Amino acid sequence: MQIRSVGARLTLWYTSLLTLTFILLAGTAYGFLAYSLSHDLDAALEGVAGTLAKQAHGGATSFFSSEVDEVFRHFFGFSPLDRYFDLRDPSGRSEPRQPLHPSGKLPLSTEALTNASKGIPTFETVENIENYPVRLLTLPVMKAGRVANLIQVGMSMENMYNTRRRFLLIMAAVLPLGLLLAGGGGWLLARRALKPVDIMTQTARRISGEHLNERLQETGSGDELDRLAKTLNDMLGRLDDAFHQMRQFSADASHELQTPLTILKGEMEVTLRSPRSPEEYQRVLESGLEEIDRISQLVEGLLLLARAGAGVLRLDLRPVELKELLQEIYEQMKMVADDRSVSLQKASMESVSIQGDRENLRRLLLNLVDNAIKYTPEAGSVTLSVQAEGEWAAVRIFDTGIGLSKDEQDRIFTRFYRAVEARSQREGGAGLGLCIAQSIAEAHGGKIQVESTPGQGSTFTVLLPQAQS
Amino acid sequence: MSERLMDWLITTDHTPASQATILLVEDEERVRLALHSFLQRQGYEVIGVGTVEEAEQCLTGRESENIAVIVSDINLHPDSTGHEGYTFFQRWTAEHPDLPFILLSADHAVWDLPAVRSGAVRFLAKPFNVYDLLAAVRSVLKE
Repeated sequence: MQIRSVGARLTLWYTSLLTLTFILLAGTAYGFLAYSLSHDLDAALEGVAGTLAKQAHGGATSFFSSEVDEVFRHFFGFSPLDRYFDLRDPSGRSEPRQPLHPSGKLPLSTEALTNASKGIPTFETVENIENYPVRLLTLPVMKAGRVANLIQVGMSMENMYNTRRRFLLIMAAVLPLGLLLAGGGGWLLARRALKPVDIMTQTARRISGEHLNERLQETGSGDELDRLAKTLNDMLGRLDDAFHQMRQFSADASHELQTPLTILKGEMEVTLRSPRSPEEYQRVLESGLEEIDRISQLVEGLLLLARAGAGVLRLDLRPVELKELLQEIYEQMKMVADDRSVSLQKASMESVSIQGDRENLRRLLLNLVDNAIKYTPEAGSVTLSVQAEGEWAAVRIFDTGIGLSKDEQDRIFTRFYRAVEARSQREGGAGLGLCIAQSIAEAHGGKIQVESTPGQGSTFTVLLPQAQS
Repeated sequence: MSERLMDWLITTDHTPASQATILLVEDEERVRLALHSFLQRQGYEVIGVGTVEEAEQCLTGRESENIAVIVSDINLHPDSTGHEGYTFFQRWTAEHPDLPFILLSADHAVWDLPAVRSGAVRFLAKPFNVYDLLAAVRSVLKE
């Protein structure tokens, strides 16, 4: 099963680790406790047996003094003389001369007897004497280098077992309680820490293409979640811009395309309303063709911009003599300028060669010259020049036209931007000319600069890298 | 060119004259002139303007009394994604509920505007049939 909540997963991991640690700790503690208890028991048996052995040296009659008996009772709560004591001869038989009655229950193993004959004490655990096993020490008492007696001292392991059991019980009770507390606390902490993530998820779900202006809440704490929110917000900002540009573009494009279409449609509808003479049909078709030309230009321009924007504008690079190209454009536009009573002039025409796409460069310059003529009032002038300036070839188009405000200068290279005056012009283009010109210049590694004073005129400077000679 | 063509073509149409004045708000000069000619040839007085400011001047000026219907583009300069024509409609209708509007737009996003979606205002999507515009004008004028 896959757990979908990070909080639950964190809690599960944390609790599992805690359980493991706890069990390891409890196991180690239990091991030490058990070892320590049995070590203490053996030490006590050794002590008791040693004391008894010393007494045995003094003679069998005074074998057990009342003080000894008292010491036993004081330390163990009972005296070994009661049950777990035996005095035997070297062969292992119980000593009949002992003053107190021994329990007579203690067994003597062969191993203990063999060890005793060598003078070695033996510790054993003996079952089946009573409910609990009994720890038994068989100690040989040496007299003049040989074994005189065997002293057996035993002690019930009941206390030790009880202590161990109590320890286990406490552990068993504490473990689930501790885990419950730690797990619950961990779960609450994890939920609290991850709450901002939930809020972010909800907000992010609300943000769609239509509401990209919404932002996730930033706490300003600078922690991981705050940084995440900040990063997402930055991304949303970029998306918002891209969306806005896209919407603006499609709105502009459809607006521009609908103008010729509306006119075309209107004319045709009116024409079809009643029977027409061949002359009338011819005029309607001519007008229709004009509109279709506008649409084609617009679509072509959009395509060029899309290619340039995607970086796939194909340039047929060959050496281009700019002086020649500008001369051609001068001749081509002279008529248009004359029609509008604008004087088209040439200033300094230097011979400068660049590597470029002739057709695209022609388009660039035609757009700029056409624009200059369009926005220059009657009796004004448009002047063309080309010069080499350092690494650059500079083509200038200077006009005495209406000029551009600072704000307009910043915006004229934007797609579909048209100055207020431009929009009210009958032959105003779609506002793609300068944008296309700029794209072509950039594709050649160059740029277009504009200087302008409103009411006095503008100078457009096209800078293109000169061909390496 | 096309408004002259429109004039020329419609001289042959014989439509009874109407006395109503239409205020036409359209920032595209060429579209405005073509519609101007067309509506004029249908017998209407037409005042063509390119901006909301000019339209409001007309509505408060001397000719205002005769204006019977406003035909306005929704997307007017300077920002063609803005809805200047629509806000103009809302503002003006709030004060003068009797003055009918016909809205025009090439932008399909305007279908989301409340009055357009609910049909509270007559709306024609560009490119529209000019005779649909004529029918709409006649309809709001109850001719």
